[in-house]
Amino acid sequence: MRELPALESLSKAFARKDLIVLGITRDDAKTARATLQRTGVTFRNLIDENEVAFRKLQVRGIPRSFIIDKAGVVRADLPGAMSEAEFRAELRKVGIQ
Amino acid sequence: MTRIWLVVAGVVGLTNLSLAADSKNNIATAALRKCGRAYQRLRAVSLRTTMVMELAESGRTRRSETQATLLAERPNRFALKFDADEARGELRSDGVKLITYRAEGNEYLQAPVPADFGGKSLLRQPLRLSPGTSLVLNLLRSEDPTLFLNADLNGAELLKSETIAGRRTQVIALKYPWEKIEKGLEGKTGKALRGHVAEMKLWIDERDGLVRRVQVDLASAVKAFSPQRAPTRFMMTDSFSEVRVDPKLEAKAFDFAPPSGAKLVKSFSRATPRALVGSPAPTFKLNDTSGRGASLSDFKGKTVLVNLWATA
Repeated sequence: MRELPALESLSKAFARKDLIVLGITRDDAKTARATLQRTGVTFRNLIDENEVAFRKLQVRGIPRSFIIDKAGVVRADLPGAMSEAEFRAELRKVGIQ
Repeated sequence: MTRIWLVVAGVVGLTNLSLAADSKNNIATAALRKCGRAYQRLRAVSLRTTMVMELAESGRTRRSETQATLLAERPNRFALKFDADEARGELRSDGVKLITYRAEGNEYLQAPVPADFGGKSLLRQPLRLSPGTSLVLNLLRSEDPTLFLNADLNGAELLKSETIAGRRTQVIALKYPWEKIEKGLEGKTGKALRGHVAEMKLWIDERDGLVRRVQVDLASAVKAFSPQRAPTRFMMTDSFSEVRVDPKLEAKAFDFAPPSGAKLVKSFSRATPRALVGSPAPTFKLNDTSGRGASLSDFKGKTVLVNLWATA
C-alpha cells in the first residue's frame, strides 16, 4: 500500500510508453475505494476479495509486484516494498524507459 | 352437528397454539427419522456437492467455493473427487484402504479406513471431508442412521420449509457435538473444541428424506480455540445436487488407480511454487473498483506492471 504513490507517478510518467499500471487488492471494494481516494490513486485497481489472483500468482506476502510483457509472459517477480527508482530500474530491463 | 364443529374448531385452535417449540421439535424429529430411514434403505448414493466457506473477520469477508463429486456405498466405500483448480485430487476408500491423492505434486497417502469418518475443515487442507460429505458418509456407515440422527442430534427444531434446486425441504436446526464433526479431536484445537456444540442446519427433502444441504456455523468454535479471533460469521455449507439413489456401480468404482508417475508418500511434500517468471501470466477475471470486469489478457500488446496490495 505504501507503494501506491510511486506507482501512481509511474503510471503517469509512462502512460505514453504503453505501460499499464494495474493494482490488485484483496480489500473489499469499499475499503479499496477509500484507500485509493485517500492516496490519490487514479490507475486501475481490481478487487480480489476472494484472493483468486493472489492464489494464481502464488502471493503469500504483500506487497508483491510483477512485470508482464507485451506477449503476456511474466518477466519479473518483485517481492517486497519497492521505491519508484527500483521500479524504474526493473522496467528498464524490459525496455521501458 | 354444532358439537362436532366445536370439537373441530377446538382441535384447530389447539394445533395453532401448539405451533410452539414442542410441535416444531416433533416435526423436526419426524423429519430426522424419515431421513434416517431413507439412508438405511439405500445401498449407494452419488451426488455433486458445492462446498462454500464464508468467513467474516476483522471487517473482511472471504468466500471460497469448491466442487466435488461423491460416490458412496454402504458401509464404508466411497470416492470423492475434487475438481477445483487449486485443490484437485481425490479421497477414496475401498473399504480397507483410505487414499488421499493430490494432483498437485502427483502424490498420494494411504491409511487404513478409520472407524469413523470425521468431517474435517476444508480450509487449509482442501482434500479433507467437509462437514456435509462426512455426514452423508457417516449416515451410510451407520447401522441405524435413524438412531445416529436422533440419539446424537438433540434439541432439533424445525425452522422453516424452503425450496432448493426445485426440491421442497424442511430446514432443521440442530446442536451437533463437535466430537461428531472432528473425530479424535486431537491436539490443542481438539482440546478446545471438546464439549462444544456446533450450530448445524440440515435441509431434508420432504419427498425422499435425503439431505440436500448441510450448513455448520464454526464461529463459536473458532472463538473457543483462539479467543483473540472473533469471526462474526464462519459458515461451511455443502449443497448437494444431482443426487442419485443406488446408481449403477462399476466393478472397480472405489479402487484407486494411481495416475502414471504418482508416488506413494508418508506426507505430502510442500508445494513447490511453479516458476512464474518466463511463463504466461495466469488467467483470471476480476471487477475493478467501478465494477468493470478485466483480465490480464485484456492488456496484450502492452507492458503491465501489476502490484498486489491490501489496506490492512
